[in-house]
Formats: sequence, C-alpha cells, structure tokens
Amino acid sequence: MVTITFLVTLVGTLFLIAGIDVFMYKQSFFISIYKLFAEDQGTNEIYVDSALVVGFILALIVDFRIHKNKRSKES
Amino acid sequence: MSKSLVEKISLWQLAVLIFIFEIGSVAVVGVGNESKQDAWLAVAIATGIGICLISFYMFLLKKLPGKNIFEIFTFCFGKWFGKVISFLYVLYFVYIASRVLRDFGELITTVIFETTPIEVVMITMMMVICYMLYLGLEVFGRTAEVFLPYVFSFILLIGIAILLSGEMEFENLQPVLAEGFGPIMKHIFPKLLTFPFGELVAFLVIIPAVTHFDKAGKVSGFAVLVSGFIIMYQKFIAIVTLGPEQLDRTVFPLLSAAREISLLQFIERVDLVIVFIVMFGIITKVSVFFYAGLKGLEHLVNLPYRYFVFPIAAIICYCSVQISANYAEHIEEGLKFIPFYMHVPFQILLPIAITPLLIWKGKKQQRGTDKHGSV
Amino acid sequence: MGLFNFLFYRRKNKDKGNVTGEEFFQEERLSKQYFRNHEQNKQQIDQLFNKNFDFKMESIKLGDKDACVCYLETLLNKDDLTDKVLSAAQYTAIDGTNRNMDTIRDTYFPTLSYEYADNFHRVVWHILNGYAVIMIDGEEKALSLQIGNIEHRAIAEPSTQTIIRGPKEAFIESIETNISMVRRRIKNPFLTFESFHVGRDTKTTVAIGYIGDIMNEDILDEVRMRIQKIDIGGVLDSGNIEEFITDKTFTPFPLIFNTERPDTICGDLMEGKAAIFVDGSPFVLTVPSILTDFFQSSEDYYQPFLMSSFVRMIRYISFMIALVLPSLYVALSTFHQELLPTLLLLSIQAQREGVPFPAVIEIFVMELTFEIMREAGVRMPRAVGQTVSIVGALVIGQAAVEAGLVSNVLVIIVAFTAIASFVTPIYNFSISTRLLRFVLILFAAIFGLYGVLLFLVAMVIHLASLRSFSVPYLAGVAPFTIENQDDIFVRIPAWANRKRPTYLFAKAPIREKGNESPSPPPAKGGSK
Repeated sequence: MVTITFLVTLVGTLFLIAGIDVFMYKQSFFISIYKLFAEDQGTNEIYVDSALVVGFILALIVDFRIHKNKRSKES
Repeated sequence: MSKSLVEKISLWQLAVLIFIFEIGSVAVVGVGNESKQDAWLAVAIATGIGICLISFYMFLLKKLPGKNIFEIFTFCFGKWFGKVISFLYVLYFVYIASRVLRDFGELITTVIFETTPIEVVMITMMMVICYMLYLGLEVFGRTAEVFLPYVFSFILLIGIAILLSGEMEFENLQPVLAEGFGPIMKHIFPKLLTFPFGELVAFLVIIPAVTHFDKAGKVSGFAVLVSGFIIMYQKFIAIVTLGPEQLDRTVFPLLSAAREISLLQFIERVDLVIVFIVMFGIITKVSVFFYAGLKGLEHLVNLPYRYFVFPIAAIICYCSVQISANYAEHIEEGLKFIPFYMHVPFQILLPIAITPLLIWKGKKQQRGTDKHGSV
Repeated sequence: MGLFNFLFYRRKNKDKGNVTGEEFFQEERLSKQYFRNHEQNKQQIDQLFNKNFDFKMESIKLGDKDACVCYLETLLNKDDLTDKVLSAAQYTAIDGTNRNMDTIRDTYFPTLSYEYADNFHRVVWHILNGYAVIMIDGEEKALSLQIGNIEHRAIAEPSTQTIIRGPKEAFIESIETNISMVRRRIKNPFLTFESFHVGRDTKTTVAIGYIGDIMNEDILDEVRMRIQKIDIGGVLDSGNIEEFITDKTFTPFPLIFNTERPDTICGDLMEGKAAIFVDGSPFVLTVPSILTDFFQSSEDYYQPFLMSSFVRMIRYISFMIALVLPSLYVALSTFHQELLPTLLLLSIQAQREGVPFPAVIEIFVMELTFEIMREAGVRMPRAVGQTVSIVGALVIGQAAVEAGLVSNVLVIIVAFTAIASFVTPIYNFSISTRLLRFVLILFAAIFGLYGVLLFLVAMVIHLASLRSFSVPYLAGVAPFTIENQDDIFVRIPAWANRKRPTYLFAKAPIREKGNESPSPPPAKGGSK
C-alpha cells in the first residue's frame, strides 16, 4: 500500500511539474515529461535519482513489514 | 503498534510554529519587492488580510472540531470525491514543500557552497526533517520552541547592527505612496496575500491537534500579527539599507542588507550567520507542508503517516530538483504561475467553496441527531 | 512504527516471574520445605554450606531443647555473637512446659532484633544476609537474630562532585548508612523507602525513596514497575540499574541523574522526584531527570543567587564550547575564512603555514591524544599520575608545536575545549559532549558550518524526542513553561521560588507560602 501511494504521489507530482512547464513555456506535454527524465549535462541529478530509488526501496520494506505484522497477528 | 497515535501540541507551540513558518522563507526570497519603497506598507495591509484569512480557516475548523481539512473534505464531498480533492491537496503540499526546499538549496549554493551540488544540500536537510517528522508532531513543536529565541533575536539584531553600522538611509522610504494605493493592492492580491499568509492553509491540518482548540483561533491570529510585524521590520530594513532599486534587483534582499553590517572591525560578513538562522525557518516550513501532505496520505490510505515519511521525503527531494532547470525559471514560475493557479484555488477558492456545503451538511447532521435525540 | 524498529529491532524481555519484595529468595534448585525435625534441617543446610570454611553450625541447648545456631562468620561480628547468643543460651534455664518461639526469644535473646523464618528459603536467605539462625527441634519455624554488622568505609568527602560551600559528606557503599543520611536531613513522616531485591545472583537491595505527599503516583508506579521488571545476573553498582530502567539506551545523553551528595538527593526528593538507592554503590539515582538538571549543582542554592545564576550561564556556555569549538575551527578555517576578521585569519594562517596536515586531521589527532591522556589519567596508579601530566603538557603541547606538527591555535582550542568539558557538574554528561564532539568535527569537515548546524538541529530534535519517565527531557524549555523559568537558566532568590517544577506534577505544587523579600521596607515616605 505504501509503495502504491509512493508511486501514485510521484506520478502525480511529475504530472504537476510537467503541466506547469506546458503552461508556462507552451511546449507539448511529452517534451516536458521527456525533459524531466533527461539527464542534464553537468548536474548531479543522479543524487536525487538514487534518493528516489532509496525511497522506493524503503516503501517496499515498510510494506513488507506491515504484511508480516498482519500475518503474525492473524496466526 | 500500527494504531495512529493521538498527538497534541500546545497553544504556545502552535504560535511558535506559525511564527517561524511565516518569517522562514520570506527571509530568503523576500516579498512585495514590486511595491518598491512601499513594500512595508503592503506587508502591513497583507497582514491584516492574512488575519482575516486565518480567522476564516478557524471558522471552517470550528464547524467540525477536532477534524482536519481532509476529514472536512470527506465530510463535505462524500468518500470518493473527497478523496480526490484530498489527493490534490497532498500534491499541492508536496509540491510547495519542494519549492521551499529549492529556495533554500539555491540560497546555500549561491551564497556559501558554490561548488557543492544543490542535491546534496537538499538531501541532507531532508534527512533531518524526516528524522523530526518520524518522531512526530510533538517533537516538531518542541524543536521549533528551541529554535524560536535564535530566529527571533537574530532577525531583530540584524536591524540594530545595520543601524549601528550607519548604513541606513531613511530617505529611501520616500516618497510614501507615490502612486497611490492602486498598485499596492494589485501586488497584495494575490502574491503577497498567498505568500506567505495564504500558505497558512497547511495549518488546517495542524490546528486540530492543539490541546485547547477553542483558544487556537486567537493564538494563531496573534501569531500571524506578530510575524506580520517581523516581516514588516525585515522589509523596512531592506528598503532603508538597499534602496528600492537595488532591492528590486537583488535575489536575496535580507542577505544583501546584512552584508552591509560592519561593526568594531570584527563582526563582518554576518550574512553567513543569517543563512543559518534562515535554515531553521526553512526546516520548519518544509516540515509543516510535509506533515500536512503526510497527514493527507494517512487519511487517504488509512495507515499511520510515519510509514510514508521516508518515501515521500525522497519524492520531495526529487521534485525540488526537477521543478525547474535553474533558479531563474524557479522564480519565474513562483511569480507568474504558482500564485494564480495554485495558491489562489487551494488557499482561498476551495475553502470558500466548501463553506456553504459545510454549513448545510452540519445543520443537516445536527437536525438528524436532534431527531434521534427526541425519538 | 515501522522502519526504525525494522532496522534496529530489539527483542524485549518477556515479563518473567521476578523477585519482588515479598519473595525474598527464589531458587528453583533448593527445596523450600522447613522440617519440624531438627536433624533433617541440619542435614539440608549442611549439604548446602559444608564446603564453606566460614560456615559454622553450633549445637546449643535452650533449656531442655536441642537447637543449633547457623551463621557465616565472615558476615557477622563474632564477639557479639558469643556475647549475646552463645553465652545467653548457656545459663538461662526455662520451664519445660508451655513454650513457643516467642517465649523462647523473650527469655534468651530479649535485646536482639529478630525475624522468623518459616521456610527453608528464608533460612538460607537470612544466613546469607549475616543473621544467626537458630533452629530449634520440634518448632515449625526458625529464629533469625541480627548480630552487629560488618565494617564498611567511613563517610568521607565527595570525590567526584565537589563543592566549595555546603555539606561535605558523601554517600558510601552501605545502603543503610545512605538512607540514614537522607532521613537525618528530611524529617517528614511521608518520606518512604521501598525495597526490592534485584539480581539473580547478587539479590542486591534496591530502595526507592520518595516523599509520599509530594511525589506523583503515576511516575512512582512507573519507577516501581521498571525496577520489578529488571532481570539481571548481578547488580554491582547503580549504573547496572540505570541501564535497565532508562527510557532509551541508544542515546549519548544520560536520562537518569546520579549523585553521591545527600543534600542533592534531599533537594530532589523535596522537588517531587524519586531516588533509587542501590546497596554497594555510593551513587544514588534520581528520576525523572531532565537536561537542565545536569547543569545544576547543589552549591547553586547555597551561594548568593546572582552568583549562581551567573555560574549557571557559564555552564551552559561551556557546554556549547565543549561541543562545537573544535568543529567551528574546522569549518571556519577550511570553508568560511571570510567569516573571520582579516587579522585573525592572517595570524591563524601564518601559524598553520608549516603544518603538514589539513585542519581536520590535525584536530582529530589532537582530540584523540587528549582523550587518551584523559583515560590514562583516570586509570593509572596515583603514584605515576604526575608523569602523565608532565609528558602530556611537554610532549604533546610544546614539542608538537615546536616540531611543526600542529599549530599553536589548535593546541589552545583543544585545551580550552577540554577545560570547558570539565565544567558540567555531572561527569556523565560530559561524556555525551565528548562523543558528539567527534561526530561534529566530521560533519564540519564535510559540510562546513552547514554541517555543524544540521547536526545541532538533529541533536535538538533528538533531545526533544527524549523522555525520562514520561517527563520530556527538555521540560521547561520545550515544552516551554514560564513557571519553571525560576530555576533553569537562572536561579531566583529562594524566598521567591515558591513552586515545585510543574513538569513533575507534584501533589503539592506549592513549596512555601507567601514569602516576601527579606529586605526592610522603605524607611520613610513609602506606603505602609
């Protein structure tokens, strides 16, 4: 559940950011999305990308924990 | 273990949170610069409207005591549509949190660490915020209490220090109201009203967790008033020190003003210290938005918000880098898009829209309970 | 609460049937039964103790009854035993009929304090506690007589928490003496000491002291519960207990205050705290304790209030210095040179000119050296103590600078930091600054001033999250309470300090009523 929430929120915010770009710079939606994922030269986006991955893993771990707790409670 | 804890903060902690929240990022980016030498006046008027706004928010909350904004949405719009609105609010809070974080990242990388990647600054900061929110709202409130004296005294001291350095020129304030009230009002609405005062909408999530809810309205109004005075004071300092033209050009006004401080040939370059004081404000501000978003998720998914702290923090870090390619774009969006299409709907229009619904539904519910009571 | 528990999962001890005040002694390997038959009992005890050289079992006759006295001679005063028990049994005769334990005791040992032991466990327990146990043939319980105690250290001056003005006695290793020192000072009928026996092997007496009409019941119940829950092999010092009852172990800050000063304990008791005495330890714990307790010395209340307020400020400042000075040096000299005034910067850089290391390495090595010297100074025999100081001062201080290994400024900083860390009245607390200092230096080396600030913020968050027996660790500051400000950063005069700390939720919040300033009223012209 946490993972799903994580993904939905992520997609939601990305759409929001892309939408703002579309509105501001009158470019097509796909270009905006593409620009979000394109690795800009000379920046360190890899840091936040890895942070995102860590966040995803943590979400998975938390989900796993919840699952395990539930199961142990049932038994 | 999985049950959500009831967390309470005291009235004083609420006031402290509002106070630091208000003056936090204003100290970084500065507001109302378009009004030139009348900016302080604009802030004064905006403070008045801001107090009206928080009273309006309190009016909403008092209709359903103890319920936060998300629960009110569900109450008004029913389960599914309420959830959609709540999710939009969550996105809004997460987005604004990343914007505030970006502000600070830009400040740090521009002023202090030119070579450090902005991402590192953001991630480290977010880790501290995560730690705080993971420990809960109570810890957040107490931490803000510890920060308060430093933030307050340093912001006051800046003014005194600049005055003693002899850098203030009070002629900069003239002419007062050269173009009348018209342009000022235009600047106040929507920009100055929505940022910083309208952002108090995030407190719609926190205020219900106050121990003496009935007094929360007065306390938060008072806190807004005091913070309005402090923002005015900051504005005033920036204007008299820099003059209206330079004020309009500079990126971080208060910082530029603090650069003028030079005392006893020993206290110089105080601007660095100010960056770190601002840091407390930013931490508080990001945390409030972050917490509001987390509470929204808790309401949506029905899991304790602590589970979401780390994943959502990663999203905030990621977004704060992705929202714009550079600082100019960031500011551009902040001036042209955000106030009109994000702040106004989420801070003013939606709350106003739910008011009739809330009153109507509240009455209906009351009638229902009355009937039940009589039968 | 998800993640942290997942990462640092700690298995909590299940509540086992523990030793409580009721059951003195629980040993599964011993039979519990006490026989009416004298010989059977003798055999049972003999089996248990016969290998001990100091165990004595002497047969005596009480009137016409067979009896035997069992004791461990190392635990009691032999002369007293001979005087009061053995010789008394010899010549007093008693009427053959109609006796029970009470008449026997009244006849033979009227002056000795006594207890009855109605089962075998209790007999063993009494023997181990230095009683002389008299078992009489045909009786269903044994008579345990308390003979004079063994010797212990005399009351001396406190060795770790010294003061200039005020009482100069310190607790010692005997719990009876310690409690008597407190009782002598507080003559309140509600002053209560509850005892527990903790430790599977040591069965150490642990006593909770509190003033019943002040102490909050909920906190007291919590203290009792935590002490009863302790399941440990041996308790050798109050430190062992402290680790079991503290709210959080994974923190550099001490959550329980300890002191060896009776006057401090009395002050805490009267504020509404509980004191935990442990037999064999001169350090008494007080709970709940908050951060600011560690900055207060009992002398603050004996010196004029202006001076003690000033001294308290000095303590807080020196705490900050001990914590951040080295890391500030690193941050300023490597990242933010512009913050320093030009002349100062020039002089620092000039001194650093020949130094081969970066500032971080330099300060790390020096701090480490200092810690080593400090540890050596504590552990080494007194006789060679001089050597360390000479070697330390000369070699580390002077020679290193002259050899160009470290700069002069750095030696000043390390020395000043060290001195500042000694200012805290409680030794425990300076440990936390020592630990955090190293982490801070690391952060300063990576992120400069930003790192230092970030770490301090994290530290404040951590402090705000701590609780000591349900009292927030930063109580008085966060949550901020105006009523408690009279005794936190400053101390207001005693006549104005009327209330007990509110965070302790004492039953009687008012300490004293309607005191006024003792200064004489204005002589003339003033109001009546």
